[in-house]
Amino acid sequence: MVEGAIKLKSIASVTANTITATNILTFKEDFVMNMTPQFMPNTYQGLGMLEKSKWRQVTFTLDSDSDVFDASYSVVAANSALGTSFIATFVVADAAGTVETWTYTHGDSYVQRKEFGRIEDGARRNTTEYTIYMFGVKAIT
Amino acid sequence: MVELKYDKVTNIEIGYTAAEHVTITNVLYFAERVVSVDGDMVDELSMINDYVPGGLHQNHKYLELEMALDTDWLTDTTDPATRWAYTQPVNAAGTKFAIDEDGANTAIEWFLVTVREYDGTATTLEYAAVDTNVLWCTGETSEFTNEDGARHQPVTFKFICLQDVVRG
Repeated sequence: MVEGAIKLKSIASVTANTITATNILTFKEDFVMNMTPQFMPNTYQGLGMLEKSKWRQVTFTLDSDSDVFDASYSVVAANSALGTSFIATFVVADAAGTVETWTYTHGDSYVQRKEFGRIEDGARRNTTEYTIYMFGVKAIT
Repeated sequence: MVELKYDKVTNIEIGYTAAEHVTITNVLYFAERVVSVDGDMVDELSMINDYVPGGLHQNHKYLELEMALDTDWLTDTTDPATRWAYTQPVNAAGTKFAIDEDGANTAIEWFLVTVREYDGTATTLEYAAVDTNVLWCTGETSEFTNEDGARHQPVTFKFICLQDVVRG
């Protein structure tokens, strides 16, 4: 077993609800860990760590938009979890272009934000940004 | 007087002993700052209607560390699932990892940063050297872009350290 780096050169696609979008401009996954150092009065050094809930926020910017999340958000009803899948696919920076997939727990994934999708005359990119809230585990293959 | 001029990060060792750790070399950057719970490390203490502070209030404080990699580091290069934070043991028993997706994170007992100085000298920044209950991983952010010209796809880890760094 040899340790080492892996370099991903691009994001190939995002799949949700069995629909795949490839027009991904950026991808960001933030594993938010609610952790706070603990202190006693009249001490300078912390004593330990208070740990609470954890979740992931996954943000995609699309150029320009896609219907991958259409079934998972609504302004007249509660948002439902992503139905059948939630997968991000990347391309490894090797000669073969190996694919790597991050599979999220789709049943614990919800559309949290959809930011302004701005369409502007002459703009090089007309982007739309989605943020998915996810708790549970992520599998990498 | 000692002047330090850093060139780059050579490697970062994370694990639980000098013999049991990963040596991460694909470091984009490493950063350290002091965080004070109440804002600044010291605040003035003034009496009402007095102009000259009568003293100082000393606040709680800790170190916040950031490590950005390009992209992530594996403990087994043949298996993309072996992200270091999820597979490299960090406690003395060799049973716990820096990030637990479904539980509390375990303190990292070995955390050394080796930097190269301008003249080639290697300087080690020692945050934990077989120390328990002082350093934890507190965040992980992966960022990828397909924008033209992007060279790095960073994965950034945050840590909190409850003791001073030893420079050697």
